[in-house]
Amino acid sequence: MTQQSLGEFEELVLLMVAALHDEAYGVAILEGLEEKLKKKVNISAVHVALKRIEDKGFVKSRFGGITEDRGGRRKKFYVITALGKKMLDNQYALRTSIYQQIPKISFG
Amino acid sequence: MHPPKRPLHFLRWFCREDYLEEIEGDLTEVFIKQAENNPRQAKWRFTWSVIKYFRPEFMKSFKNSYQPNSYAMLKNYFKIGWRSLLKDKSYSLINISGLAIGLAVAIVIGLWVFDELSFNKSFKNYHRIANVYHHFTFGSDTFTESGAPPLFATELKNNYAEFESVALASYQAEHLISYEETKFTKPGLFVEPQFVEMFSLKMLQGSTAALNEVHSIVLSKTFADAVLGDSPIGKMVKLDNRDNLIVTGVYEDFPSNSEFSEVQMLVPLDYYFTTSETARKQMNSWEDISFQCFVLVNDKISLPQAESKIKNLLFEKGSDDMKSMKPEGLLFPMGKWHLYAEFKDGKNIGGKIQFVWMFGLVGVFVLLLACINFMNLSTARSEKRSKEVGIRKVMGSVRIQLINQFLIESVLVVSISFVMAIVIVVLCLPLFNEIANKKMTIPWGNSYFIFTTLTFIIATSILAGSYPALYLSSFNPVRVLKGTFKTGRFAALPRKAMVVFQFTISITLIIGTLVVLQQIQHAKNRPVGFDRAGIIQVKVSTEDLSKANYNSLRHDLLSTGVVDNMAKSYFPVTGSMSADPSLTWEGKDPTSQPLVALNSCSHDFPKTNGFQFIEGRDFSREFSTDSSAVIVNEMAAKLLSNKSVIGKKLKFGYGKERQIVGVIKDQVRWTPFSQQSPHMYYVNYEEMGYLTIRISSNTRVQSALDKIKGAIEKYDAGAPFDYKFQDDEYARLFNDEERIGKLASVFAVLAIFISCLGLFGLASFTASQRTKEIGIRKVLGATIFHVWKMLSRDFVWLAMLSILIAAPLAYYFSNQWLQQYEFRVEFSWWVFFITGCAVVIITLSTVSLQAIKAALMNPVSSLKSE
Repeated sequence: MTQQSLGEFEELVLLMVAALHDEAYGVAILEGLEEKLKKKVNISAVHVALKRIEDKGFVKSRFGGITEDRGGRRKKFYVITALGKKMLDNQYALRTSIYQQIPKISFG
Repeated sequence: MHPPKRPLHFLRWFCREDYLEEIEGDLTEVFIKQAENNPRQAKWRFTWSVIKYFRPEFMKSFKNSYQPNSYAMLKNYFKIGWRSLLKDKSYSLINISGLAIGLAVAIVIGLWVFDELSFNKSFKNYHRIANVYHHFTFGSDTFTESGAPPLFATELKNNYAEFESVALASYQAEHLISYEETKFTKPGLFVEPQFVEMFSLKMLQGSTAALNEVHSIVLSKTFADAVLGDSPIGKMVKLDNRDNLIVTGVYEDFPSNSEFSEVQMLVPLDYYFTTSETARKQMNSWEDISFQCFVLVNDKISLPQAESKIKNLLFEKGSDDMKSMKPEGLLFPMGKWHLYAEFKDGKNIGGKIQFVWMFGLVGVFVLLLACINFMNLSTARSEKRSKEVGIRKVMGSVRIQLINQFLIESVLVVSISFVMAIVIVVLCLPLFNEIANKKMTIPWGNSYFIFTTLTFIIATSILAGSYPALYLSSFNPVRVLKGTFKTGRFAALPRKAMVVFQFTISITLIIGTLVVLQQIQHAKNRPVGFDRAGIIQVKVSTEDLSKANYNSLRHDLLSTGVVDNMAKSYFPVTGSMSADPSLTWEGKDPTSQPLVALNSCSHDFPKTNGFQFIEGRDFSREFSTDSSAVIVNEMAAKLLSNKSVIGKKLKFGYGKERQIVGVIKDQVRWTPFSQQSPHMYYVNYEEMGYLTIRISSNTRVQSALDKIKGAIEKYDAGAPFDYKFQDDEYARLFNDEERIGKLASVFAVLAIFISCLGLFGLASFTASQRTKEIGIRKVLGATIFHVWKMLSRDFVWLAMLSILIAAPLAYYFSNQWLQQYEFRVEFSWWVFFITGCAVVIITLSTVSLQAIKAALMNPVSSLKSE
């Protein structure tokens, strides 16, 4: 299998899924991101990213119970998979290693 | 607070079902949260978000949305269809075989029609090629014949820019080819070299200029292979035992459905002009129209335009004799040669095209009969299935599914029939080819053929399946299941109308066939005027034989002991004759120019052929004046004078005077279906075209032929002994009509058979529907005879009604057909009577089988059921 790619926004969503652990569903992720990024995000963007990372096997989903405040619609909860976690670890390791190569010179 | 409806509906319409719940839920949640602050903005944002979802990843696949389910359903339709076929095997058999036979007939006729219509059309420039014909007027009669004199062609080539190419050719005739020890007699043409390119001949070996050399010959592939083997080019073959010609080319055989299909060799016309003094004279003639002149008009001008240019050419250039026949040129286009070859009174009156129409129509009708059968049986039987429809509806079947069910069943039956029909066609095609004198094959790869058959399968299925599909699916399940459902008094009416229609067509066909057969018999019974049995005709095809001394040849033949008599003539007695426009006699109206057919012969010709004299005497060697004697037939005698014509003098062309010595009975000439014409035989020993030999009645034919062969070979060592029996030759005159008779009989029998199959099916259906009624009737005392009468009566009425409708139709059409014959049978009314009786008997016997079966049933068992 070729190296799975992970877009920037996808990575953020994946991180958020991992962070919210077991409570991650569309709106929760949306709000989490908006809070961290300090800007408005459209729910459709979140869904697109979720579907993509689900297709890539980084998350898996299940339906929750019916709640009144969503017009009777069930929530869909996402959980990070082992593969997803490994992907995040790799990304983190990669960035860290490159970061550490930055020579210690003063900026500015 | 609810999200706006319209975007929500839109979302639900396009969004994938497995994503919809999550997306809708999340959207709603976001919307509700925002709506607390700013409802208006929330609505906008909701709409905007929905629009942002409108992208491929979230869209459902509209194409395949129902597929898995409908595939299973389709499988089910076929399964149920197959089961219902097997459930009632005899019904299925009748239905399928009837349709298969009808289809097979239609396919065969379709192939034939296609073959006829495409005749001569395989040539690249066929629409620009024409044959020069001329109208000639003799008195009040106008004859139209192909032909032009050689100078006519030269004139066209030199002075008419309208013609891209002009090729003069001889008429097709048999020629003897000898190569080493082998000899073959095959049809061939003398042609000008332009012929090759005009008819886009495909030269397999040699070039298109192969005929430029005078002593050259090109052969067809099959003939070259048979005679010369591998490398034919450059080999020498001898033509008609005269000259050696070099094979300079081999062409791909002419297609079998073309004018030249039999032609196996082409020889330069220039060579023909060298073969004899007569031929040499022909070359520079404006008079001798015994050549065909093919023209290719250039693409800037139409055939009628070119025709107007040559209309008066022969009249202007011809001699006074020629002018007296008022020749009027016309260009007969290649596309019409085969199907429109007949002219009458200077007008084209069609020809074989009427057979194409006739049989095309028959094909359509036979197919229609089969389709009607199919529809009738399907509808009749489908009423039995009304309960099934009721149950299906109760179980939740939608109407469209019922429609599909019935349509698929009919597709199934039509497809099976079609496969059967193809098998029948494959088996019968060789036989049909023989009767129709064709070389047809099934064009498997032809896209036309595939398209037509597919269209047909679909069209028939829909036509036949639509009635049960639409009608049955409209049943109200409650009524059907309660048993109060009645098909009504008039439900059977269309079915009856169709039976009447079927029988009308079948009866018309039968009567038509009988009339054709009668007409043939009528012509056969006609007094022929000459003997046929035990007489052979030998064509004099080589120079050696034509130069042989007649008297010594006669002596040798008679002394074989197997020959009663022999004679020579220019034309055979069954063949054509020539005409001499300069023929005059005392008291002839100088303005009239009646056509009198002429044949020259030896003294012995009338006797050998058994001519019947009604006045005067036969030619005799005892009168020295008989060397210029003439005998005429009755019609000629009437034409010459009201009184006895014996001793009357006739003036032939070139000033020769001849005297009439005898009058014979009229003879059947050209075709046995036309009126007799005036004709004469005169004594002349200069030309020898045919030998007529009468074999002694008490010898065995084969040994006699061997001896005759021996005698002739003394004079003509090179030529094969090529003879024809006069009775065969005479029978050949009936070929076309007998062919129609045979084909028409076959089709009529098939038509009535198909109709009867349908009737049989219907009768069994009615009988089974009325099982209970019959049971009750029997319990109440009805006899078997009563029941039989009750069940048969309806059908016999239908048959009688059909006879009434068919009689005038058949009368009209057969009369139309008979009109084309000058010599025709009177329409006899017993034909209707016989046909009527036969049809009633056939109907009765078809129906009775079922009726009696139903009548014999034990009422206990028929009433007990249910």
